[in-house]
Amino acid sequence: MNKLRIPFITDELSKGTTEKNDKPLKGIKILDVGYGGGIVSEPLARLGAIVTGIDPSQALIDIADTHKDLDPELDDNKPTYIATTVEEHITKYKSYYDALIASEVIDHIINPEFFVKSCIQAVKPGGKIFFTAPNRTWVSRFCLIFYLENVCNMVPKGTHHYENFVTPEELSLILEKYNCRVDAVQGFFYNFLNNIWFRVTTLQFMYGLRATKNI
Amino acid sequence: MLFWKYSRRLLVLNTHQVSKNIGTRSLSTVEDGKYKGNYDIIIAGGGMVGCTLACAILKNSLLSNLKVLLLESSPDKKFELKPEYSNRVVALNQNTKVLMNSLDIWRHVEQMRLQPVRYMQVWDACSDAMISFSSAENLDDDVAYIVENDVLLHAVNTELNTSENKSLNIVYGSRIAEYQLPSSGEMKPNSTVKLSNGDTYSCQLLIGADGANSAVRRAMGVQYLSWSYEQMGVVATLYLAEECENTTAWQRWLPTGPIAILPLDSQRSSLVWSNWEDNAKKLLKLPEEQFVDELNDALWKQYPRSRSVETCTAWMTSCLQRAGLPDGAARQLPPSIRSIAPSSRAAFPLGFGHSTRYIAPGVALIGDAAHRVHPLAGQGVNLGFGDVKVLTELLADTVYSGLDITHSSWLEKYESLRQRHNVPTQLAIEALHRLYTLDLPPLVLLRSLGVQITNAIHPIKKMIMSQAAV
Repeated sequence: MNKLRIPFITDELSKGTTEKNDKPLKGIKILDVGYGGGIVSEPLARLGAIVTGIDPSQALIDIADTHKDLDPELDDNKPTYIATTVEEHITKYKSYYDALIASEVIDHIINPEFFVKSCIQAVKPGGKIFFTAPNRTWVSRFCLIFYLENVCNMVPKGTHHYENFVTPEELSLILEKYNCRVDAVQGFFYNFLNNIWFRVTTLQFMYGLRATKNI
Repeated sequence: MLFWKYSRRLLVLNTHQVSKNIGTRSLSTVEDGKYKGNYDIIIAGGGMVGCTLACAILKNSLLSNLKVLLLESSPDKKFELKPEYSNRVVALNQNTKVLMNSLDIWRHVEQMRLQPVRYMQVWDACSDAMISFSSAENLDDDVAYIVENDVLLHAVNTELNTSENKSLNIVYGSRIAEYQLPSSGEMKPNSTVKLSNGDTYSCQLLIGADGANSAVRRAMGVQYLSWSYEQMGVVATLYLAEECENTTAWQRWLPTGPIAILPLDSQRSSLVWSNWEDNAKKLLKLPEEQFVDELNDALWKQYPRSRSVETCTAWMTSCLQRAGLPDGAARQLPPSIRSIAPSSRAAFPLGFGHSTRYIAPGVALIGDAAHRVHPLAGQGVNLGFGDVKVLTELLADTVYSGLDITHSSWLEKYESLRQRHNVPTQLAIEALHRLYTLDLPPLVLLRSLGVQITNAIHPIKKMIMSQAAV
């Protein structure tokens, strides 16, 4: 998945630089909401971004912290992990970040509108917001809940709740309601046979959404 | 012995890097058991393919900050362009030229010397069948370029030394004592390279570019499918009887193996004569004049032909004529050889090799370390440069995605992309070799008709050319 979503983020944030280099995100402050084990935070830090990862779970921080020490390349630019929620975090860091990433988070949130609103508050005016999430369709229900949880057992049962899934239209509506402009929506699909993610035009399964906070 | 003497000496290029990596330690002393630092990438083997990879990594804006170490076993020799041609040459295809051009290496080759091949004729000694490839069929692009191995290697090294790079380190005369590769379970693969003088280096990604007898491949413990052809390639620099434009490559299939005459300049050509081992050894011992006689015989002699094959190919020729397709009857005559350059004769063994895996966690093989072929199609080194191109592109993609340079997804993609190209090419070359070392009439007939049809039908020919050009 990273092979798709990191360029999805990087291509946008490194706009304006003429040549591709190995630190395209140098100096950009990114908030990674629900960083998991640092799956997105670490690659972004490797690309030069100043990453802060937040997640309510304290146990995750220990895992992520040990993992980030494994890579010598991250030595001078380690992501910071904090055990907190966005709602709490924005009390200190309001309009602070250049970009915010919530990768596969919104599908676990009971009140997405409140969550998205807090996310927007963390970003500077003109900053970018990235969401990746499964759509609420029978395709994602079949693939994510039935296939991955019940057939493959790749993901623990009960990880996903179909009712919490958000469609890109709903997400766009919320974003626009709180003074954001949705720039692009991109579909992602997964080949279960050879474990490769690829970009598609259909939004039936997973999608990535990119928005800008209006000034 | 001289080699040993040199190999004990550690020569490090790029003084800036030296001071950065090993501090103020003196260069020429050998300190036992020293840990000399960690690199992102270690390239084992500084041959044509290994050096080109180093150059390709440095020139890629995404990869230029990676710390690279190139280990080369031979000492750092001063290269000078002699008026005499070297007897070891390679035929480079268009794709290799494009790669070399993009790395700014080609201009150095052009400044030294190369010979374009505009026309190539391949014909059978046991029948009238022949096939030709000409630049006219290829948008007037040259069919291939003949470049001496030394010249190409020097061109790559020149580019490596001129480009401003702070992240490449080259150790010449390094004899490898041991490779310690990471086990598959490790989260962070890290390989260790131990030199025979005790110096140790570690790296994330180890690239084996150390030739057909690759020690990296042995350390990987992968299955290696190989056999010897029991043939040797006899090489020499030839003087032509008559001066001519000389942009044609000639290859005649003899029952003992193919003989190829590759153009060098208006008077000289290079010989690659594949022959059975005992024949090849005899050829090397012959006095030079007698060798030239044998050579002209090999190019001109009429071999006994089967009547039925003759009839069938003549019938095919007339069929093709009636259909208005090229019938292959209009052929050029090969040159006569006047003499050979003194003491330019040599021979090297020929073999087939295929590594079933090109990769292991944190390790990848490129060039002859992964695949070895018969020189009959002049493809060996081009396959290696193809590896370089694909590997650099995938690695750059990976870095841009913020992934580890040892991430398995790109390594696996590298392996499957390259095997998908290399293995069919190797098998085709193998099939040609088998088909042409026999002179049973039915097989001669089969291959003659096949060659005639291929030569006549442009799309098939184009397919062959494009497979050989990638």
